[in-house]
Amino acid sequence: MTRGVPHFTNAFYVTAIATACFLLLFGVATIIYGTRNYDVQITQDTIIQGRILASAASAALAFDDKKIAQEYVDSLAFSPSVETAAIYDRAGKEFVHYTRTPGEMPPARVRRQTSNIAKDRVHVVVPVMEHGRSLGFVYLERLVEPVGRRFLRFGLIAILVSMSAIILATLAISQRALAIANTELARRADELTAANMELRVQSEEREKAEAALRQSQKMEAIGQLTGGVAHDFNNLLQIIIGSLGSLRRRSAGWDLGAEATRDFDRFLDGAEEGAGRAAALTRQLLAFSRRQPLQPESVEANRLVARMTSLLTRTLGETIAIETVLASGIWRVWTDPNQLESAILNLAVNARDAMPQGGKLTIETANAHIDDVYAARYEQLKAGQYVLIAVTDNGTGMDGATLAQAFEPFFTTKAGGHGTGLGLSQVYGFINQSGGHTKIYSEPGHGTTVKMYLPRALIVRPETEEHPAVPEWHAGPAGGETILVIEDEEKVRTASVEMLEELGYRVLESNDGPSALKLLQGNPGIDLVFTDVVLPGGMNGRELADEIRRVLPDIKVLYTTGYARNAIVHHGRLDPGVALISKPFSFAELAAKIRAVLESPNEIRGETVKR
Amino acid sequence: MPPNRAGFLLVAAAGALADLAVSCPVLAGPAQARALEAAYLFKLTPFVDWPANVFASPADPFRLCVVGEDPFGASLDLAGQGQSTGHHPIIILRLKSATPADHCQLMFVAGDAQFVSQSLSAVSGTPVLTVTDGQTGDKGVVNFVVGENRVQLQIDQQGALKNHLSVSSKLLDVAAPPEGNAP
Repeated sequence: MTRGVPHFTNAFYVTAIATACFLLLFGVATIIYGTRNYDVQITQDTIIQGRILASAASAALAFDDKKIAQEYVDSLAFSPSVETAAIYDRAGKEFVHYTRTPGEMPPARVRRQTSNIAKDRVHVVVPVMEHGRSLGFVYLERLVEPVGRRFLRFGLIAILVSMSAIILATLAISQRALAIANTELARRADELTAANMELRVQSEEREKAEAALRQSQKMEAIGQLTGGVAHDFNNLLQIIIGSLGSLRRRSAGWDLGAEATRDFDRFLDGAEEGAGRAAALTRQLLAFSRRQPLQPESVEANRLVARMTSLLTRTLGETIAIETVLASGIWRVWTDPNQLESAILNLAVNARDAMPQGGKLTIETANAHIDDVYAARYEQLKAGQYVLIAVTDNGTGMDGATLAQAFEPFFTTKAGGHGTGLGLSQVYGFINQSGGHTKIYSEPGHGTTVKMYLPRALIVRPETEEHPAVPEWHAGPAGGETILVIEDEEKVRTASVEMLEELGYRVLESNDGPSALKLLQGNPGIDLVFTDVVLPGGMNGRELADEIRRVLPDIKVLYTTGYARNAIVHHGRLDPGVALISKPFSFAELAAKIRAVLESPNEIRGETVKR
Repeated sequence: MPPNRAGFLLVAAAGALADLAVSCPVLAGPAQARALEAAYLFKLTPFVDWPANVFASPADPFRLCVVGEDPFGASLDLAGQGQSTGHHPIIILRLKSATPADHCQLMFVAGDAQFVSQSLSAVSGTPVLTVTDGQTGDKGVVNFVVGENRVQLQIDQQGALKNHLSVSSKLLDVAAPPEGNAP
């Protein structure tokens, strides 16, 4: 990691050393020059002093005035560095002299002009000249500062300079060490920051995953609960609806009088309507709990959406514009078209309620790819190819808290009586059961988008032209076939038996598998087995049917159930070739389904298609 | 003995006498005083400035004239051998009488008081350094007196000014006070 810390380069060190060497040499040169210069200077000074004396004393020397000459040399006592002074005549003989230290003597004789430094003294001899005429010589001896002392002085300076240099060097080195330490510290801090960041990201990922897991576990628990409730309700509703149907058909022949008949019909209508609405609710509960039996087909989403547009226009009203954005080349999806229509309808109704002043509803389709990273965040979601159906409104939107609970059953923000809280639950349950994925995006004031991802269909099978509507009930018995009814719930069984008998079939009944098999052995002419999927006695409907088929391969089987279980539903989908009528069913629905199964060709029955 | 050898010995003797005089100023007799005076004549020139026009050219000689009775004899010649002042070689002229036409720069006048007086008057006001050794009577700008056992100089500054001469203060410093000037 490179950071902008002080960094000393090689060039810097070379420059610093070169500068230090230069300064050292310069210092030595300065000392030598200073010493030399001092010598020259002191000699020069002494010569000048000698010349002054020579000039002053020239006449005294010339005319042998010793007294005056002595005064001149004695005056040099005022110059403390002068040790000895003497005047010599032309022949070099001493004329007068002065010595500071008694006992010292000047040279007895001088011959010529000289100057030299020896023993810390400078000795000079200068001529006494007057107008170019040589009259004699002057000798001067002066003290000079000893070389040792001079060098000592320089030495002291050198020591001070050296100490300063050492302090500077120490500072520079410690600065450098500090810089290195800082760099290291910064690097470690960066590493820590990066590690911390990674930890935080991981922690956030984990939190998201845990939240998603918790949410799905919660949904699963709610699903099981609602599924159980729905199952029981369906059985009860089957009793109610069956009984009401029987009552209505039988009452046709009663003579109650006009007023009583009117009241009877009115109450019966009310009861049937209530039961119907209850049945619709339980269907939605089952859808959320993913317990509803799906009947998947290869569906082209664009066609389905296009087909729904007119229905949606009627349902949503004039204030809401519907726009569809359908991508071309959309893959087929493997799903239950009825449930997909319900899901879209539920979303459209929610959108309408979110746009009380009107607005725009957009339905988009697109091919989509869910990658591993995204898929890993959701339990049971697999990466791969999906078809996206997105329903968007520009309504009020939802805040975060609302969004978190949006899929939960019975959660609603609508005013009492305006919603069941099961719309989005149906969507969530259905899409999950189909192996898909649902995601809501919403912001208060900016509307809501619900994205439904459905897995791409891997088997291509022609879409059925139209979902076959429940055929009209064929009036009258259809030939007196024998039907074996197996149902553990007595009242439900009674209701079914009564309906079938009313339809003109011969009916046998049993409450569990083993007794049904016994019955079968004594009644070989049974044409159809109508069995509940969930049975007591250690044998479920599917196992019973398989056992019967072993003996009577051509026998027809119609299942019924309050909700689907693994017996006939795998991966949330009805096994192919299995006929099923969901509770609660009406007289007409049962009649039609029985007829359809009885008249179905034998060869497709029992066919097993592996997906 | 060749004359030059004799001359050398005489110079050596004069030098020895001079040395003696310096180291021991006690004069042994009149002869030594004469020799000293001869040497002093030459030593005077550096301490006196003559007007620039006394020399027609730089190569002109410096004329040292002895007027009247020559008291020095050969000692003067010896002392003056090879002497010069500035660029001017010193030549020695011996004259009977003094006139400005002689163009002497230095004139030693010896003789009786009258002669001396006449001679001094003759060159008075001209750039001539007059030297006498009289104890009485008229004296030149420089007058040698023997006293305190040595030859001393008396300087007549008025006379020097009159003759357009400038005498160095150094010379005045070592000069003996003129008679009558003593405080």
